[in-house]
Amino acid sequence: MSLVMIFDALLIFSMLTLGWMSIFSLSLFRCIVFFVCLGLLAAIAWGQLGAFDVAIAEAAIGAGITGALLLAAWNRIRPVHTKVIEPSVTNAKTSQKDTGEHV
Amino acid sequence: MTSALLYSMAGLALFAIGFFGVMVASHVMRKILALNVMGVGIFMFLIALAKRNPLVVDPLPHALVLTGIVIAVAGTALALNLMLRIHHIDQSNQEQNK
Amino acid sequence: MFNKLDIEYDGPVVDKSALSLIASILVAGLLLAVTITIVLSDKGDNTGLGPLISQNIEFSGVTNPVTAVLLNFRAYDTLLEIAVLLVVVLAILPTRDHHAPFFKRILVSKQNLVLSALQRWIAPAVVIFAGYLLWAGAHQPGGAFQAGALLAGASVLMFQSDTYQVNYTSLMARILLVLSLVVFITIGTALIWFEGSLLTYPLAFSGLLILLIETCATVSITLALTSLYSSFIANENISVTDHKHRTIK
Repeated sequence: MSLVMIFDALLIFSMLTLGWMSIFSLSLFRCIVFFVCLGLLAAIAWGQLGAFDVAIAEAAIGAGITGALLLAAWNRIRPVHTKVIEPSVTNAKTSQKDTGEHV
Repeated sequence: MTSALLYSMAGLALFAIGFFGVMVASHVMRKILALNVMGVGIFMFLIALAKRNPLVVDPLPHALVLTGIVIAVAGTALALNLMLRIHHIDQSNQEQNK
Repeated sequence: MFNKLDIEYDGPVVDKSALSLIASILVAGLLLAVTITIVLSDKGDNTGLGPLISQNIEFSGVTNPVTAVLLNFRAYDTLLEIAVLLVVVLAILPTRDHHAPFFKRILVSKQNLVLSALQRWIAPAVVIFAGYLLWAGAHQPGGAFQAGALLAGASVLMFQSDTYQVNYTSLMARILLVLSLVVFITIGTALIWFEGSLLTYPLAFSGLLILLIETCATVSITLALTSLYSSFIANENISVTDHKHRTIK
């Protein structure tokens, strides 16, 4: 179990977790942020696999441009009037600080 | 287990997560995000298979993935524009019905 | 689960229909099982196309194998990829009036110090770095797509303040968008007459032709990606003044 293997295992575990959280998080803003992080970790993975052209392109296009597009589209569909989230058992995952700001 | 094998199975797992997300998620933007996650998984599978012989790196899948990344961002932009169009029509319908 | 398109912002995360859950788990599991059995039975001594490409790389005009594959051995795929990008830009282009200038600078009243400092410091450095990536793509990792994407990122940074407005339907923008496709197709079909088949570069000029195609591709890709971003921040409230006619909204 060399050090590189441990690094590979950690990177893959982080990517799978980020992939899951990028789709099933509670708020859409967090999903987009996790997706940009997934793109940047993918760039590290391509560098680890010896694909350096693809790593530059993934960091610039996959994480950069796609992140900007997603955030710009998110800005257009978020509701304008903020809504106060009542703290209850089903909403226990959102913290108290989330009320008022619609993320 | 070589690193190429490990990364290719991770790419398949990412593809499966994305596919599950496309089927099951309810908001359209989550489906678009899940499609992109599927794309990242497929790219990882291709690039990992380019390194199946650890001495000689095969450059052809790199070119395929480069083309794929550009097409994926173009497709994502088109899908997001369609989602905005639906949102706009929904909003004007709601204002008419009020 | 496909009949209803849901864009309600605070809706549930997951469709609560059990059929979709079971069906997707079954299909994903089947795909995983089949592909993992195929991948695990690989013996690891297949060299792929690597030796074939490194034998033929001195005939291609560049020394970076990925650039050689993209722009010489599989140049037709790159041509079609640029065409697909152009088609998506056509689907997204805002319908403005065609007489507004290509590039307009508006003076805004509020200035953000951090943003303007970032723009002034980062954008020129990114332009130089993109030019370096384009040139170094011949013998190092780099190339046209990376340089174009970098420049598009710098353009997204410049669009963060409302100072600049680009009209993507003006004549100059249309020329720059189709430049890469036109140059690629012209070179490809002219080579039919000179060499006999589509996109076969003559040995003496192949490096030069690849550099020419890559430069035009960088310009086109930058403008295409920037127009993809601009389609989301289209301001309907800013009136676009036509030089000859009245103010059009």
